[in-house]
Parts: sequence; C-alpha cells; structure tokens
Amino acid sequence: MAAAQSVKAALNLLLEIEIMPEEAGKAFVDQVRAIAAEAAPARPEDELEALRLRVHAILTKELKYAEVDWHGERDLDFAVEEASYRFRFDPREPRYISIIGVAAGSFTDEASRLRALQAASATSHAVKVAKVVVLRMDDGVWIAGTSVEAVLPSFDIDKPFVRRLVILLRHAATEFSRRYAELADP
Amino acid sequence: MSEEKARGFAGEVRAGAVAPPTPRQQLDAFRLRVHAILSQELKVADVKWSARRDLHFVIEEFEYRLFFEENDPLYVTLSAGLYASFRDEKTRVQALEAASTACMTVKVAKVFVVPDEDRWLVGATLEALLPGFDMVDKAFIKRWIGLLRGVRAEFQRCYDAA
Repeated sequence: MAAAQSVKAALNLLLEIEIMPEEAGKAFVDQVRAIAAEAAPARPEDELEALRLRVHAILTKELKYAEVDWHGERDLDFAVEEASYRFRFDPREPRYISIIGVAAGSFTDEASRLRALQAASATSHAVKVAKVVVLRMDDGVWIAGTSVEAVLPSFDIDKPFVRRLVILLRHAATEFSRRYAELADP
Repeated sequence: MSEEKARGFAGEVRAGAVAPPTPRQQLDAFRLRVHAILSQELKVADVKWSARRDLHFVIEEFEYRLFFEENDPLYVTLSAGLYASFRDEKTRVQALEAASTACMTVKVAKVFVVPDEDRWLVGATLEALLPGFDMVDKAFIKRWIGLLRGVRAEFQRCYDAA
C-alpha cells in the first residue's frame, strides 16, 4: 500500500514538473498538427492542381508552345504550327489525361463520311496510342477528331513525355489525311 | 590481387555504381513485374511467355496479349486481337460507325475495323506510353484490362443499337 502511494506521488510530481503553461501547450499541439498535415498524403484534388500547373509549365516554358491558355474548367489550350490542341484533365479521375485536336478537312456527303470513317479506323489501328474518330458537328458537317489519352501510373510527368504525346497526336492527324486522300483518289 | 587487377576491379565497381540501368534492363525487369502482377496478384489464368517475351493470358475465355517493344521500351500494347469478321457492306458501315463512337466514349482503349483481303476484321487494343517504369502496379494493370474489355463491350452496344 505504501509502495503504491509513493509511486502515485512520484507520478504526480513528474506531471507537475513536466506540465506546460497553457499557451506553450497550445503552440506545441499546433506544431504537431502542422507536422502531421505536412506528412499526410496529398488529396487527389491537390495532386490534380499540381499536375495542371506542371503541365502548364512544360507547355509554356519547356516546350515553348504558343497560345497556352486556361480553358473552361482549367483545361489547357495551346497551339503548335497553326494547329490548336486542348490538354484535358478529369477531376473525377485525376490520373487520366487527354490531348485532343482536329484533323484537316470536313465531310459533307455520305461517300466522304464513309471514307473518313474508314481512314479513321485504319489510322487508329496503325498509329501508336492516338485515336481518330469522326464527329458530327451542329451544322451537319462531319469532321475527324484526334486524341491521345493516358492513365498515368503516377503524377510524375516530364517534358519528353508530353512532347511525345503531342508528336503522336500530330502524327495521327497527318496519317489520317494521307489515308483519306488515298481512299478519295485510289 | 595485383595493383593493375585491383584498379580494374575498382573501375568496374565505380562504373556499376554510377551507371543508371539501360532501358533494355529496365524493360526486362518491367516484363517480370507485369508477369508477377498478372499471375500472382491478379491471379489471371494461363499467363504465358511468347517466343519474343510478350505475355499471353486468358480472362473469361477471351485471349489477351501484352506486347513489349525493345525499341520503344516505354510503349506497351495490350491487345484483344482481331475478334470478328464480316464481308457485307452494310455490316462494314455499321461496324465503322460503332468503332468511331466506342473510341470516343471509352478512355484510352481503341477498337478498329480494318480490311483483310475480301473481308473486314474488328480488333481492339489499349496502347500506353508510360512516363516511367515505376509505379506500375496491380490497380494500374487491372484498369488497363478493364478499359480494353470496356471498349469491346461498348463497340458491341453501339453496333447492336445501330
């Protein structure tokens, strides 16, 4: 019994010695909270915003593409040699990115639409990664849309990766035009 | 060890320590990693190496092939092969329209209709350009397979709806 009491007293003493003034205690707790927040994994929306800013920097400063502007819900428009592209982000799936463009030409009659569909399919089969699709516009005209898409294993992307995506997209547009011309004038 | 041999050895160690792995070395490690993910983590049946060290596997009776490219190690193709064929014009038009719509709807994966002598074939692939070999994990490979299966299903849906 006496031993237990002395242990209790010793603990009380220790607590008294260790006790901090309230203000210092609060500062200490805030400090711990800040460290924990820093160490916590980033939220997906923060990672997406960082990716957007990284891509913006790559397009403007590293690749020096023209007319890089934020569009709508923070996608990025840019231009390369008179062709316009849009770098799209997906807030619902932050690791999915796409770049879209338009191939030259529009198709108004059924025969040209079918040729465009055939050329689009053959191009999608032949080129790496990029896709070509035939889209109906509001005025009833059909155009060929190009896209290159990726689901990223991580947010860590660099200049060569973005440049390669743009090259693949541009190549798809060129290849589509070549194949369409071949079908139109075999 | 003689002084000369010792220097040679030290030089080798130094070179080995500073040289980053070549893309080919990384590709081989990547192949093994993908094989392990498919067979052990995703427990896919019949995962086999081809003669040129691509991977073949089967999911629910459908065959898939995962192609690696020595000359472009960060480029990977997951293929569902050419799985349908037809000869008549009406089907061709319907299939081309369905392929275009499915490509537009489904992320990353593509479905296409290509001529083969006197008939037309439908095929589907998912092609990826990786920013690096790191971080490719079970969830990532599973997503690829899901997208490829998705584009086939979407093509069928669009074709049937036409």
